[in-house]
Amino acid sequence: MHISEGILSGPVLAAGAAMAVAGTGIGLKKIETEQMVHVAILASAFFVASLIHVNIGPVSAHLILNGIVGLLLGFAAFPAILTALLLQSVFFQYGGLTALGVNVLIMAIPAVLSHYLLLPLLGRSEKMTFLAGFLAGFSSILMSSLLLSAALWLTHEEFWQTCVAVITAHVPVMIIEGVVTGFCVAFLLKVYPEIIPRRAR
Amino acid sequence: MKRIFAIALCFLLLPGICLAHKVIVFAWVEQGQVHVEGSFGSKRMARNSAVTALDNQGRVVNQGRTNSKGGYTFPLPEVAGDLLIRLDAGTGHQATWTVPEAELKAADIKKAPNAAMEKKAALEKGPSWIRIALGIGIIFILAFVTARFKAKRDHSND
Repeated sequence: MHISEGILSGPVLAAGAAMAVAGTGIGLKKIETEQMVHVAILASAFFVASLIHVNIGPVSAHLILNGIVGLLLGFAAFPAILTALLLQSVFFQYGGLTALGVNVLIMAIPAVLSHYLLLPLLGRSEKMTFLAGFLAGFSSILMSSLLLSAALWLTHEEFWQTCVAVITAHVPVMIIEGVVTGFCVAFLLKVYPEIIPRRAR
Repeated sequence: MKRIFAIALCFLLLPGICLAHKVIVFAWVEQGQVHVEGSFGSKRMARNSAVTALDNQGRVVNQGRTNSKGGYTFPLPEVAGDLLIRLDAGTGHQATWTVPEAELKAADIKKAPNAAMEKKAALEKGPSWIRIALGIGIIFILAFVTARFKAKRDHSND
């Protein structure tokens, strides 16, 4: 899911960087001081998640966890994901530094959308909470795959072929992230509800 | 506070196995042939990935695809300067390797030079725990600095 150096064209990189900066600015403005520790915890989880590989048959993909980051943080997911991706790029050479803005958008836009679309379902019942978490995890990877395909298509690659390849490679990750996010959110609501945004508790 | 640490620990212990996820390409010259090897780490080979060899002017001198073992071999081209090998594993994954001019000229060598092998081994090595811990430390320091800045600003606004 991390786009490497030298893949995307200049205009795509520039547009991605500008939009990522705008999203991060909004995120920083919206973060409340007492929420900062949650941002750090979730950014750290995101930072290490890409080290977990899912090997099913010929498919090898890694966890991303942008669903839970977005669901719990909303726009604050932008600075959290930006920081984690920057550190992944510097320390692990995952993704190119010039593609950082586009990589942030690919992972943060679905994250923020899952917050606004699925947060109202949290806390209604145990099943609904799990379902909201599952959908956040599953749909964030699906949307990120679509955005990744779109970014590559804007440069040179054929959209549908890339789309099918990316989505196929990430189907196991979508299911695993859905289940992990579902259980995590249900667990957090019970043991540490403070991490869940106030309006969903 | 204890609960925050417990939750943080749950998240951070999630990665039981740490494996690298990046495309790695390695090339060496042996008996008049350029051998290319692409992988996503030590044991996951980059199969059917596009390989492009370019001279120092950016001209394509050879093109092909890796086999089921992530390998691709082509005859040593006549180039002046270094040879750049680019491996495109698709879906945004790309890596490059430079075969220095000196290595190209010493085409009779039977195995990859030690320096190149060491560089390859370093690339294939998974992320160290020190780097992981350092990354997490930086995230928390940045969060602390941002929280302090915001608290100060909120205080001055009051």
